[in-house]
Amino acid sequence: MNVMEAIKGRRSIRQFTEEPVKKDELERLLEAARWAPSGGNLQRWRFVVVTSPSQRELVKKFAPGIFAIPSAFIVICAEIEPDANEWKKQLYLADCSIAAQNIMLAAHEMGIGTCVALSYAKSAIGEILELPENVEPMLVVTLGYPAEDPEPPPRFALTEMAFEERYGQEWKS
Amino acid sequence: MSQRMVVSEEGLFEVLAFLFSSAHILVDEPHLYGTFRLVDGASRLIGFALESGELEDEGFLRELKEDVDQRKFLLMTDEDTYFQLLEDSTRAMAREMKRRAAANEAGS
Repeated sequence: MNVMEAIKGRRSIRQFTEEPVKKDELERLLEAARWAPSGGNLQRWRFVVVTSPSQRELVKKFAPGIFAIPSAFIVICAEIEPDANEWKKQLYLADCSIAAQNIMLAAHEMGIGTCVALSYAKSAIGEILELPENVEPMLVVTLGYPAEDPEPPPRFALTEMAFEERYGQEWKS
Repeated sequence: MSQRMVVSEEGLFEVLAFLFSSAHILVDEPHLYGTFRLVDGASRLIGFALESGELEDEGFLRELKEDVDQRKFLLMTDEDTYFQLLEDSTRAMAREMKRRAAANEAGS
């Protein structure tokens, strides 16, 4: 599978089989995240991998945007620097998002389904995962072997979202 | 209508976690997500009631849950059908509760 195939073939998977995602597979995904780019090479991301049934159930209960219990969660957190301003906080989110995409593409290549979620109660997740005060959960990635094969949702045409030289000037293929 | 408990303590806590979390995150989420959380919460509550096996007549709620679960995700791709679900489920609830009230009246 080449990169473009992975990008176009990945789907958000919300239903999973019982088959567990193995430790070495999870480590491979963490490795994919580790090699993501980050602003100023800060690498302030931190990854909490949740696989035990009790922790998974607890996380799901406080994540209204997650509809089935996956085999694993990777909770992508940012370790906030003491002097972080708003710009820095946007940078953390951008970095964590890029890491999440690396995880999802690598998982897709391995036959593992993923879905990235932002609809969870940060305070509850912080409590469950015992996150220090300066560590904020930015994104939650659910992982498991797919129990569904969803159709790709519609995408805007390039002409609706890409421009040449200046905004509004149509992109011509 | 049954006076028995139809949701277990565990189910109650799960629904409460869902409701409190939803209230918390909906402060920042798109407003339509609020409607989604409400129908999704209703579906989850029905699920716990069905699991308990304590309902006298579960047919209506089972069908309602199936319909909600089938159409709720259309919020992302087909808003009109999703809005229709909100109207249909409310109307179905009214119709069923009217039917039950009439049955109670006839029985008393």
